[in-house]
Amino acid sequence: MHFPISGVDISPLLLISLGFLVGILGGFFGVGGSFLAGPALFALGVPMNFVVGTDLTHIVGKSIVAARRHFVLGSVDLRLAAIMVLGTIAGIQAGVYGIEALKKIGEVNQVVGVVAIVVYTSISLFVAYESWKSLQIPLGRKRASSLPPAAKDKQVFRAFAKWVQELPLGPRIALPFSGIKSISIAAILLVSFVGGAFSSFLGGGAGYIRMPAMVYLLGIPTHIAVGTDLFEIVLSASIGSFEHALKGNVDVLIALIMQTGAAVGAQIGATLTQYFSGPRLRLAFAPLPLLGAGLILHTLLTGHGLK
Amino acid sequence: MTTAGDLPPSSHWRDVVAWVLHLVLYSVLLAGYFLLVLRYLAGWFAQLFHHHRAEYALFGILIMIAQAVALDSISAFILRVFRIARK
Repeated sequence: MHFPISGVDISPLLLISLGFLVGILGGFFGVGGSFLAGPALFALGVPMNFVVGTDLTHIVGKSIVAARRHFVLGSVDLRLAAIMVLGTIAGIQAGVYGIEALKKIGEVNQVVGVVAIVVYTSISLFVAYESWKSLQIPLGRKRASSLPPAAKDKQVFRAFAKWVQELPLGPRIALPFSGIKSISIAAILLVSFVGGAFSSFLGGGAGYIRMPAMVYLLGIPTHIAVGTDLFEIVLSASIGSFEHALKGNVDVLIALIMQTGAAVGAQIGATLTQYFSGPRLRLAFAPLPLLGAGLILHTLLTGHGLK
Repeated sequence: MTTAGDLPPSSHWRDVVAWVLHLVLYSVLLAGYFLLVLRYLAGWFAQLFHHHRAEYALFGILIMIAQAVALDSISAFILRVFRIARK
């Protein structure tokens, strides 16, 4: 099928399948799946600026479905989400300007591709290391299966998260839903700004960086980080998509078709989170960004799919 | 860690059948939906993209949200009906 907006030819069935896959990932891991969807679109011949904008637009619909499910399950910290939206919106603006600057000099494919490879590989290695170390920590006499999710959520970087929570930066806020007595609003805004910037620069919701940052830096329990991240992405991705669409970086038809597959995948993924939690969930997430990095590297080296 | 093995077999069966129902439902919806999108919306969106970028951005977001909510609502409704029927 020919897509007149981006000027590419792609099978709709491929797009539906891709949407379905990233829908499951989004619902299950709390990330948008852009670390796979973006590289896959790039490999299919979609120009990188359209990959970024279209993936972000596709996230809007998908995250609404997944966030609604997590909200019903009670895994959304609304106070945290409200603060993070502010930082994310500012970050999105920064990312959009970055893409526009690269478009002007004709280097968007190469620069965004290389940054994505570095980021995805780093995230993959870091999460694998941390999850593996967490699983080595004994849980005591009580069997792991008899403990609540928060107690099982042992983190190697808990001391670091505690240090961040105690940073003497005002104003501060309590997040009782996440079990945090007091934390600097600036720390939350910084994490969300970086996430927003990556979101609009690399595409998708950037849950691959925001979700680990919430767990490791802010000390948010994994299951709440998953739900809150999705809830916050709804608004931030909408704004980012609008900005990118104005700049001519969005193919709505591709996003619509991908979202039809993602809608059902997200429900399945969100339901699966009831069966798995904590370090095991993060360990399963670890190799996925690496797959995306490999796909981009292959496309950049071979030029396959690119016009 | 809670595993799927801790749940009663009937719960597994219900979830699997519910998901299969989802997939069947979506397959039917997609077939009809693509006729609409590919035949009618493609040209309209292309026109908007080239000549009215602000409207394109606005309608693009709105239709994404509308589609997501509609698909989720229909899916949830079917799932609810199925579970009630099982009880």
